[in-house]
Amino acid sequence: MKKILEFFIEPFKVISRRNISDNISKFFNRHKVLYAIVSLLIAVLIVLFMYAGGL
Amino acid sequence: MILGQPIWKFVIDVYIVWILVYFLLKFLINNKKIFSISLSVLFVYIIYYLTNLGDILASSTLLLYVVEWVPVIIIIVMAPDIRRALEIVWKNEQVREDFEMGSERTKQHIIDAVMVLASQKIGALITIEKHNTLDQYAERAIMMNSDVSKEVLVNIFTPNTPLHDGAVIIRGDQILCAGAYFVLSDNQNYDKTMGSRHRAGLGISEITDSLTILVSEETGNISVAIEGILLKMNDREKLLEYLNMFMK
Repeated sequence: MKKILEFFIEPFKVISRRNISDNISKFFNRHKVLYAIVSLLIAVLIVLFMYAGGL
Repeated sequence: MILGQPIWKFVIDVYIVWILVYFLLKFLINNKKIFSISLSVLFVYIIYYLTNLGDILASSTLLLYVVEWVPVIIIIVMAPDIRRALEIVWKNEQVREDFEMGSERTKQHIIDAVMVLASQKIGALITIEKHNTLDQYAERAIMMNSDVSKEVLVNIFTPNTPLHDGAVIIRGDQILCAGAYFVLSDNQNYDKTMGSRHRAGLGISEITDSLTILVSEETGNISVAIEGILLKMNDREKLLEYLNMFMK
């Protein structure tokens, strides 16, 4: 069962191995204020998107 | 008015969503494995959204299945990682402000006990608490609240006794509990043949700021696990040096 499930998530793993996440997390941990700024931007986008009927 | 909604509603909405997104973002970014998978899922969501927008029928229908099922599959496959990440978040909340490290006498008793255990090749796992409380592990162990002494420590780890299999947690000058069980580390950088005692010591050092002294029952070697790193201790002086640095 686990092998079947892993087969499905393998393509995602390939994309995720490109160190993008590593670089992002290093950058965020160096500039902690980014957590607040980025989350505010995402929140505004989500709310605007919902108000516009996009989600 | 913003898109037909009063501004005050918009502000409250953004504020609540902001808090949710903030904690979610912190949780994801602090767990690289989950974060990298989440990025891939986000990538699929974007493709799905674009195919849906462009009315590309086959792709959007197939991707809809993927989008619906992938979160469930990820939760099943990544369950241990999610649990560890949540423990880390919990750990950050549970910080003791009024902590006191052990005295010189406690240090000497710990080292004496470790030396005796190592010379007799008796496996041992001694965790010394710092800022992050280990109460959640102590609650499930056998409470002791006794003074740290070489004799008690050696007695606890003597084979075929009820408490010898788990970890001893030391808080200040006291043995808080014995027989504690920690989450094992799945760090791939270490040998796959590493025993569960060493994995447990490494595991607790990854999620808390504690220091763990390990004695191997196969070789009698002494190691110290701190901040997710396992260090071999060759002699008493080196161990004392580490304890002095840690128990300042």
